[in-house]
Amino acid sequence: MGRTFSVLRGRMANGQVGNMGIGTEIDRELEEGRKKLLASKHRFMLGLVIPALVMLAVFEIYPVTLAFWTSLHKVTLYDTGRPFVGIQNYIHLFTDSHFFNTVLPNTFIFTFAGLIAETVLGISIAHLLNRRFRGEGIVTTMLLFPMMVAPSIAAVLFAWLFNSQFGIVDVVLKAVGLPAVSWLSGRWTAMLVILISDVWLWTPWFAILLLAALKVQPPSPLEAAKIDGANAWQVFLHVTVPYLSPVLTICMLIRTFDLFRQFDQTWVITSGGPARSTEFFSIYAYKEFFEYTNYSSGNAAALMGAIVMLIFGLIMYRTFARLTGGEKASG
Amino acid sequence: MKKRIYIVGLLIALCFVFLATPALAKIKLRVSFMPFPVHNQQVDWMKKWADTRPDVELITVPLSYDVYYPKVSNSLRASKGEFDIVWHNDDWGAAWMNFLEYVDDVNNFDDINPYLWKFCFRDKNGRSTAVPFVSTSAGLFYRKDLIPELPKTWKELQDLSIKLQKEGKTKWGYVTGMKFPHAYYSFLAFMWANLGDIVYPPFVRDYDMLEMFGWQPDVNDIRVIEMLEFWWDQIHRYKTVPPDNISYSRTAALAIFQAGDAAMTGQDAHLYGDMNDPAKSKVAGKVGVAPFPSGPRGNGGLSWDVPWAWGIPKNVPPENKKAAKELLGYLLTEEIQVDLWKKTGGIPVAGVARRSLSKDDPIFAQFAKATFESPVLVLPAHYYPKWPKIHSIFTDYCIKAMMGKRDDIRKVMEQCSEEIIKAFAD
Repeated sequence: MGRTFSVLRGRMANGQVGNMGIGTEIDRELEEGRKKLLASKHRFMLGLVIPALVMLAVFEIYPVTLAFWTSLHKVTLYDTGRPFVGIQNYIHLFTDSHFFNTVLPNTFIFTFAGLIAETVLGISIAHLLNRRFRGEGIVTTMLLFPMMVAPSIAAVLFAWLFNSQFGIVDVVLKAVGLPAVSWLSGRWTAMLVILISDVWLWTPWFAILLLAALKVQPPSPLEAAKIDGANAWQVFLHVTVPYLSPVLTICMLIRTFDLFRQFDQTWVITSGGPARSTEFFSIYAYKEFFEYTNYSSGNAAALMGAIVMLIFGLIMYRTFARLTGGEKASG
Repeated sequence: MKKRIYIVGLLIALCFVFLATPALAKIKLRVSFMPFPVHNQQVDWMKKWADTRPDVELITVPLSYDVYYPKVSNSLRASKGEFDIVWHNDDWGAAWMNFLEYVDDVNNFDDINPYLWKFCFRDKNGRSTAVPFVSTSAGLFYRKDLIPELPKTWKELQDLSIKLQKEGKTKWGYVTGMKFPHAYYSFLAFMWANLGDIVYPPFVRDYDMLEMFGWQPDVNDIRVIEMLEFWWDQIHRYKTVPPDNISYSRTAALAIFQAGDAAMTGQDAHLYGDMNDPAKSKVAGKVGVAPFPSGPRGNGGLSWDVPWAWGIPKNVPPENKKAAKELLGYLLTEEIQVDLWKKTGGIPVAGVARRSLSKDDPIFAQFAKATFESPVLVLPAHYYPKWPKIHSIFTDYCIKAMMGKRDDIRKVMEQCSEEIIKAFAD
């Protein structure tokens, strides 16, 4: 290969190449050399990619394929036979009134509520911290604390905070003359506790990423807007938010997926109760799979969740990109 | 130079011999268990046994109750098992049966009353797939300093709770677990104490007979409805029970009892040790036990006498199975079984320990009367493979009934019945 190019370089230097047409010996040599180079490059690149491909095949493709196969068969812990049942498990899922009346609405309500709360709070905190003040480093570090706590541990903490017998929340409510609330015995109050724990855990993540973006925001558009007479709100809405849109879009997308498949806090705080009223997609699939050891319907539910998430994600991505003017992000 | 080569060669050869010597390769016994007083006691004795066995290395793996069943079920299904000994609950007997070794040949197994294993762990060949180690008999635990006369009926329990609350002696009357899978001491115990059951005919656990009756749910029967009305009244009408009791696990309920905020609780007997531990409980030394009170259609106090056990998965090497069997036989010796009672309040399964304790220990004698000698004994699970799902459906609908109007209880339980029919047909 190296020899071919050195020959070519030599001939080009002597002006021989320019005098020769396509299909000549040199062209062929050039073509062969290029092919050899490409083949060698391809081999090298393939070598680099193979470990990742193997990992992908073992840990992604194989489990998903197996899950799909299982969803088309009847596989339980206690039956040794695994008969083919076609789409029966999917029919079971789509005809389950609990799935449609409780699980899906819960999942979407929680996703939207969490996303809005975390985004608004995250932007607000980032905006507040985007200035020089004494103790800036300490405040920013403290903001990271919730992110250092494992979600399940945070969930235990919140379950006790809202415990009606020993929890501090009811003590405070009573102290200010409000009635105690049985937080975990109603659908919406229990959902609220899960939501608060999630907001507490993940708002700092939003705030830190947005703060990083704000710190490198060029001052000239802000100054220009101020000179043009824009007030603080207008500057924020028409200058800062569009500037943040690429980061914001990615943050919101990631959190949308996380919220959609939320499991840890819900499992620890309510386990989907009372009476399955706080079940989300993930809890539904988990219960089918692990509690009832009905592996087929558990897998069907999980795969359906993945498809819904994929469609939902695409819609969200386009919507966010359009709303925030993040054309670059969508491209 | 030659000498040095010989020495190096010799050292290398020794290394090979050392690595290849089978006598030095220890059998690793991995034990999965739930961290709970009775399990901890067993694990302590397992460690003592392992200390006497240089050929065995014991590895204990505590797993939370909430993830125990799914985690171990998956391990049992795998071609190579993760655990050599697994804690086994009577509830899961039918579901795990095909994955566990026969263990009725371990030492001292014959000393266990067959009643303790034949309903839950016996397979179609009539052999046991688990070795019981403790009876999970449950009862009504009460404050002896507050309650001079025990409630024998629901009505007495209700009146007593109201009286104690009015006198300001207690915050709550009876607090116990209600959420799945902790409803044994509320919905289930009280349903059985009113002679109701989930599947018709009540109290029957024989597959063939249940099959003959078409796996017919009985949850909208008057005996079950009465039980739910009783609980609804305690939560909403008389307020003797915390309003969010429907979200309590047995641990949450025990915390309230041990904090001195409830006069009574329903719990497994083996938690008596915790209730009586001054470091953990404000009511230590004041706790008594009785059978669950009888409903209006009941025949007297109720309890159960079913085991928690150890099992040996089929998917582990033969030498591990052999060592595991030796260990499980050792755990049935009188010394360890008596220690189980003394340390935790767990009721032993070995006949020799039950006999000696009944004779020598008055508190044990009281426990015996309240639990495994109570007037009505029930098998507190239905030992068919779908029991975890049926149990979960039943508990969820009971809670749903508590969340709605009293007049809607029957309607809710009719829905529950339909769900159970679907689950059996599925």
